[in-house]
Amino acid sequence: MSRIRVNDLDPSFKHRVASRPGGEGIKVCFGCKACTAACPIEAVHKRYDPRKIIRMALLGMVKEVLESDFIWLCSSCYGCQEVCPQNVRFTEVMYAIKNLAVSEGCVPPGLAGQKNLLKQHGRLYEVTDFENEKREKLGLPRIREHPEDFETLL
Amino acid sequence: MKRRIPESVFLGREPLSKDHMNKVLVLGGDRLGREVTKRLEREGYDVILAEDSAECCEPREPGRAPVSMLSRVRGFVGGFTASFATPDGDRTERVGYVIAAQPARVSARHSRYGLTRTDRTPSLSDFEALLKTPERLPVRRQEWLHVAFLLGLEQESNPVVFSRVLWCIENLCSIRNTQPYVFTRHIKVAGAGLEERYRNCREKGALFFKFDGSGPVVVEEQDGPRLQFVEPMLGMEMELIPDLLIVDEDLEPPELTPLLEAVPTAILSEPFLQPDSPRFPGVETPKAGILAVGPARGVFDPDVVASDIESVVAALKKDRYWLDKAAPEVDPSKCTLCLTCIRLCPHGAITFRDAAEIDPDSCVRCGICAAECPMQAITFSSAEDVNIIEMIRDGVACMNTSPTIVAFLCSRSGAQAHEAWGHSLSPAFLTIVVRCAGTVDLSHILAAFRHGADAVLVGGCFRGNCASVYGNVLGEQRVEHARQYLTQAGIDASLVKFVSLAGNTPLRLLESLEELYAACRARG
Amino acid sequence: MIPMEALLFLGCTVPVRNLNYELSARLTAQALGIKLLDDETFGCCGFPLKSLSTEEALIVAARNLAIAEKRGLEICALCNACAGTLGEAAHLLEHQPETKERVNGKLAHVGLHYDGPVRVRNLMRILVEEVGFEAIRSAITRPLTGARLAPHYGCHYLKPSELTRGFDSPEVPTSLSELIRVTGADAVDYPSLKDCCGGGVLGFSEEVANALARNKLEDVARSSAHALVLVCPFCNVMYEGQQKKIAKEAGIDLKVPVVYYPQILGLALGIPSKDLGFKLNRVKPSALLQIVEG
Repeated sequence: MSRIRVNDLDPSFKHRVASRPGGEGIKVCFGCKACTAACPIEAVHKRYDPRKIIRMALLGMVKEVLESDFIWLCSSCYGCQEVCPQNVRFTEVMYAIKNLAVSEGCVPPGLAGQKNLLKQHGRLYEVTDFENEKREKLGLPRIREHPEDFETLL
Repeated sequence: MKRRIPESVFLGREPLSKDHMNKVLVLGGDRLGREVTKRLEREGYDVILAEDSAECCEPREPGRAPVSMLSRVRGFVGGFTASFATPDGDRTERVGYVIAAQPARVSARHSRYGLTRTDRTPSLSDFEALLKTPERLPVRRQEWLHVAFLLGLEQESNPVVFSRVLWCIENLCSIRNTQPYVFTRHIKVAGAGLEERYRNCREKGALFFKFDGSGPVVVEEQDGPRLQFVEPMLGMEMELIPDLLIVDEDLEPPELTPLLEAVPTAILSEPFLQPDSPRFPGVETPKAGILAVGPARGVFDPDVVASDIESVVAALKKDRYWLDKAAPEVDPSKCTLCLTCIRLCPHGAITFRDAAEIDPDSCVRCGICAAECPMQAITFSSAEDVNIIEMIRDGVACMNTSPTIVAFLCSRSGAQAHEAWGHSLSPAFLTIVVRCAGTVDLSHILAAFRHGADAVLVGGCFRGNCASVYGNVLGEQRVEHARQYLTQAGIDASLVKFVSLAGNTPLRLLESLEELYAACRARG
Repeated sequence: MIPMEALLFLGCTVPVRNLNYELSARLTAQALGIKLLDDETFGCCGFPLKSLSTEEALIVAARNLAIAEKRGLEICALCNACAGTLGEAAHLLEHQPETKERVNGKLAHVGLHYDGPVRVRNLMRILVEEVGFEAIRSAITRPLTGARLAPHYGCHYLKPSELTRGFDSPEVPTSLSELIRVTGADAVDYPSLKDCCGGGVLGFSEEVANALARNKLEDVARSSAHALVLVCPFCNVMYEGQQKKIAKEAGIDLKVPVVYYPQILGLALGIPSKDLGFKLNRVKPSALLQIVEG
């Protein structure tokens, strides 16, 4: 295995993550591993390790982080955020990293699809007449879609 | 011990003199010495500052011959004679106090990492100087300037050195596109504000590599040093070619030889003037009138050093207050000048002319001299120090319990354990409070048995906790001596014992007493 | 019991896929004096957008908050993710005036404006804080004595704790267990009580998500609970929606009934099981219904 040259990594990456809303806390991490211990994903999938993700970002391993598939595995359970002694707010940091990945063109297909659904229906699941009839039969009010606001806002 | 003779203060034949209580000798021509001097002058002291370098600029220039160097100190608080070697010949000064305020000796650790000191690999001191003139920083070869620090990779990092590294990082971060790295093992943040500064430096972008196992390997190549390492959190093989590799430094106490010779316990505390003991939290040494500030007592943290300067003022004022206390008396008709007392006094408080003489201001009345004097020539006569033998006789006489146990308790440990217990002991125990366990001698132990005691306990400080440095050790040795004595006389030696105690060990005192009690009962 | 009103925020999943939750929530709230009102202009809470853009998620959340503010009502959410996203947005807009200004600039394009604050709570929190355990207990007409129910709080029910401070502890949560106990049932404790359902990663790795859910389903099965009690449709996707697949892939036998808390509360309040949508539960909680209705 060839050595990673630290000189070739991007020292500005951590500052870029930190400048995004939610990413502010990343740099104060001192690597105690409390997040990893609290992470339910790490427990079943060792490739997802919060402490390692933070470390890679701090070292400026841009490609390895943004183009990885593991950054999408955060379940956003906030377990890491609750236990962090330095208030890194890692769940929020992960959103900042994912947002950064998206802005650099790394978008998992499912996510883009969700956004399109919101633009078309204003909600994740289309509400058809079938759904509304079913609701009415049970005495529940009809649902109306308002995609126009979402079209404007997104 | 050899070097003490014939230069030793203990063999001084000058009469005790207290003419110089207002005169202070400060050793150390650097900033610290000057600060101590200024502070004492403000308090009205007459200060001689012995500069041991030609100019007191920092950092000191290596290899420069000292201007005036202390060669010997003799005498007692209020009347020391200090001898100096100067370029113009020898010189002596009479002073009341001697204060060691020399700066730390700083040595860069290049050799530990197999490095040589170059512009690319400066020491921490070199780099601190460089940061004061940042235009001298090297020209960056890439967009980013990579600055790596080696910090305590061979052992624990020192909080003072860590604080200096943080200072460098704080300054580096104001320079555009500069990436600091710190290669370390265990970071120590036990210093005022250190944890917060550590956090702030991380926030500014500094990266810390904390190695558990093998640290980085430094390879010196033509294009400069390379750090090759396994990233401790990721387990990945990495390499960094820093533009600057800053090497940390060891902080050592200054050279103190003439003073070490004047403080008798220094034989145990070298290279420091002070024993490593909670009984010496401030600047005082076991020898009255000789004080150690900062590095001379192993303190390098600037905040603590600053408070040391205030402690000097307090210590000087306290000694004045003690001036009129009574010293133990030496009976000249009994003293044979065997020098046992002089040899064993931890406080260097005894000299002699026709007989041993005890300096009342240096003496802390631990009683070691009186206990050790083979002629019983030294006695305490002040109202406070009642004759121990009488206390035993009178005490045991009014006890009608069986068994009866005498407990000699050191005023600083055993007596405090007793006090912490907070209840009265069983009437079977007679407690006699002594200044120091080192004051209890064979005659006291035998007197207890002679007057009817069934067992004897001596309770002194734990090792390293004795205010007279080794009074507890002497006390324990004497107990051992007494046990041999008793065994030879056909008496069960287990009825005498030494126990280490402290104010927070009342149960240990109680258990020891109860054990003795049970042993006596078992014997019937 | 103080009568109160709140806007019911259904979110995307509940009104389409979890009608049993909606039915039982409406009925129980009504029975306990909580008037839940509807607003047909509510849309997605914004949660699905967070990974793409937290800014867009915030704007979409703020849209819903602005709608509630216009109605002058607080929001009662059924989904933990909705409550979390809307609550977080309200918190952020309250503490960051510049963000609020920026968001309002966007909302102006759809004719909305948000000053705030608008309060956001999930139904369980409203039950605990507004109705209270004692009042619920005294309204119980058909105690679920003998029923053993395993609570699943869900991550966003209590975390991040800055949004739920003073309500319950994310370390040692008790509110849902207590809500179960006031119905007369036993709240079953089990090792993976606080574990995440895995729903958040289902879209990226079914394998990882199923591994998380399987652990809890097996724990609950072992605990001999009559059902796993949920308060979030997102968790339901994993525990009910994925259960058959998890069992099949792992080659194990899993038949853990999964119910919503308002369903069992409804039973205890004397509402017939057929009105509480039990027909829509995939694994019938037959043993539970047997205890209650015979």
